[in-house]
Amino acid sequence: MKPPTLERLSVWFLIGLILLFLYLLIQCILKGLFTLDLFLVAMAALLLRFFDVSFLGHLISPCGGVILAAFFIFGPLPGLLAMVFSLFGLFLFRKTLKFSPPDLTDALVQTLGASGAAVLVHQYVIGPALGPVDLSTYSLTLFLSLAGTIAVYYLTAALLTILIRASSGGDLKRLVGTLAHPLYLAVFCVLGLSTILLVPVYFQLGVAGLLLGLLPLCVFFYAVRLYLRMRDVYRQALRALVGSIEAMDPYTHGHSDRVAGLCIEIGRRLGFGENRLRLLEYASYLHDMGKVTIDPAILHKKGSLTELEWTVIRSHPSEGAEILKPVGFLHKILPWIAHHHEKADGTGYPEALPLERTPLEARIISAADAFDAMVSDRPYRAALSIKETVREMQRNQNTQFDARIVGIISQLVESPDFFRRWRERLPL
Amino acid sequence: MTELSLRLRIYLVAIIGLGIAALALVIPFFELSRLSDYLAFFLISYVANVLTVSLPNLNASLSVASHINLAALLLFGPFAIAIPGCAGTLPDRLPFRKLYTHLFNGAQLAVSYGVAALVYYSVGGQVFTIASPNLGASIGPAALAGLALFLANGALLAAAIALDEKISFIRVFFQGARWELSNLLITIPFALFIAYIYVGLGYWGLLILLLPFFASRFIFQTYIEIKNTYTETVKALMNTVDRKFGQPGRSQRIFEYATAVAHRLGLSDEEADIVGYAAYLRHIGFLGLENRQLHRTVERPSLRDREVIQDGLLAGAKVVETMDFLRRAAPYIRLHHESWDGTDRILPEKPIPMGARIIAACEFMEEQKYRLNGNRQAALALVQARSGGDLDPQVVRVLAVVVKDLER
Repeated sequence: MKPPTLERLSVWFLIGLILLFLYLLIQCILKGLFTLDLFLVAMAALLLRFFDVSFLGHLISPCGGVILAAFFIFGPLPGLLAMVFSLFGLFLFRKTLKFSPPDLTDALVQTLGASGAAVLVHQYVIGPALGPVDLSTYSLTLFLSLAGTIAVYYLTAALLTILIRASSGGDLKRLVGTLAHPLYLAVFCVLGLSTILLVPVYFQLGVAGLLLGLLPLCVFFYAVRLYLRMRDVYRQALRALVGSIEAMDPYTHGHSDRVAGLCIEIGRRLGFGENRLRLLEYASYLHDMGKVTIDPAILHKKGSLTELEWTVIRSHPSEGAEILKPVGFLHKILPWIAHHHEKADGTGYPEALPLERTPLEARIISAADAFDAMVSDRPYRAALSIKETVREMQRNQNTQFDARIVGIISQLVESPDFFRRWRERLPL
Repeated sequence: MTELSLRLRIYLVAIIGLGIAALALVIPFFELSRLSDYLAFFLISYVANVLTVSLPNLNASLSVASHINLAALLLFGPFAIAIPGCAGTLPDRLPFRKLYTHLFNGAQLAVSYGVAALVYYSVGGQVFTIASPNLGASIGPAALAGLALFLANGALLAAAIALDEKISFIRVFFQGARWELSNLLITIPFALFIAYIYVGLGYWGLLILLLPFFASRFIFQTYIEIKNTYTETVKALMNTVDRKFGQPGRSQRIFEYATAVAHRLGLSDEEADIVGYAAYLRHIGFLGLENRQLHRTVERPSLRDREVIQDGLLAGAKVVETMDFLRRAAPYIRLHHESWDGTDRILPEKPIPMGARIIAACEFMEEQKYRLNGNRQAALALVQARSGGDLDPQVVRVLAVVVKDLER
């Protein structure tokens, strides 16, 4: 089945949304719930979509706070109306935010589902259990009733996201793992607490107070977005810079990119956290940086190299670490780069470290590096098949490679379509 | 640490004295029952000072300290000026600076907020209480107080900077004024908002309100960290390439010239950044050249070598095109070898963008300086001889000023 395009999806969702909007609007007007305040809050929900961020496969939006506030302040129908407004915002800003179709589906489903769940739980479980709550002042019952509903909202949203992404080929374990990421938790604490504040603020200061209270939230989401974007930009820059180093040697085209892909998969199977994975990714991109110092005449040379030329080539791991020394943030990865040509039996270079003294990350890069070299053509031999490569690596485990990492690689290549997915940098 | 001039020293002592006098004047307004309020706001104000967010690309910083201090003034009466006075005196980051800078900072804050308090309470502003939180009546006085704060604070700081660096007071004052003024538009409503939240909801409300701000600070910090890493990685790589060319530090110097020239020509900070990156990355496409070829193209390029160089420039531009922030640097790299007057054109692209013209002049300057064993004046004379020919006269004129500046 052909996956539905963004445009086709959008049209159907938009039609459904407009029908829902008209129904809710008429209901609200008939019940006298549609006031200027509600309109302003709903507009805020629409505009806040601008601050949506996509984070490790989850889409996070500050809109939830306003939708929930509208629901607590004005009631379920107006809350749903604010939700519909926020979904209109999704369509309005989807170009600026560069949403992919799964992002869009995810945002729509999670907002709809979470709002529905929040309304149901508040109306039938939390609300009746706590009895009437005074929304205008702060109290423990108010806090509990709001916090409970907010928790239901965000848990439902996260659950739906995981279901959607996992069903369309996402890595379930990773998606669940993201929920425990410090940045993710921070975002939800900030969002949840701000929402709890907005309700009494509205009753004391009116709608102007509520809108002012959203200001810190906007600053926060803006900061998160800048940060996440900068991370992508840096990764992209590394790829470009490394790409121009690889241009020195036509046989290594795309090499670092593929090594990075494999390293991350191995790191993930070894249970690395997101931050460690990120550094491993940087290191695997940069592992051959030291080749810049080598005269391409040596790299291009056909036939055997002289002893002197070998010395030059063997200097590239330590040269790479030396080059990157001034980059403070990368100081952790320097040994990983410097030792990616060590061998398990202590016969590698530059320091001939044995397996147990070589950093784990350097061993990962070493194995991934060798794997990619073996499955690619070289001037002196044709590419090996994946099976041959794995067999070759298994033969050399404990002399050249870490047996545990070879084991992981031999598992990874079993996954269907491994070769294509790996080359195209799809999750294995 | 350079010695302070006599005038600056007199000024600092005068302001510190004025600050102490201001604090002495507000002692009668002290209320013992409010002690915990004073302490709480002092603590928040100090934390806000420590957690100031410096905004990338804006050359400005964002702090909620002024919002908190102004709110305290509306809530607790004139004695509240002691809050910024004391919080400002405490060192907000390591390493510690000289004692007098801390004293001056606290004093100038006490005086500035003193002026604001004077304005607020003399135009009919009232202390906020739970009984009478009338927003309407406070907006006018609060706005005037904010304006007075902005003027007094700006003037006191500008005077100190002007005395220290011996530049015009007016220039310093207006340099920061635009950002401060736009910040003020947010400060006034937000200070009122904080005051109301505090009256209505107490400490908890305040905490939840400020939480996102403080959280943003940490995020911004990591953002800046990665941005710096980006710059450092580019520089580390290109410095290595320079060493390989046999010209260590050349890109760094061309980068310095180019950024300074771009600023002087009135380009935006962002654009000057891009020109700087382009200056650094201008030879990224040359990595594939064998050393033999490389040295020849640098020393004595033949016609064939010119083709090789051109290929390198095009390859470099292609690399940069795949980098999100630097896409705009691609034409600067591609075209920085083109001559300004249009003779000797290789690529048909027209006009040559300003960035490429800046890099062309700065690169030529640096090459000549290297050839002449570091003689700046002679190199500059050679650059000026090409003005109007290979090089853009406008850029050369600014470069001459920049070179003189750097010499000093």
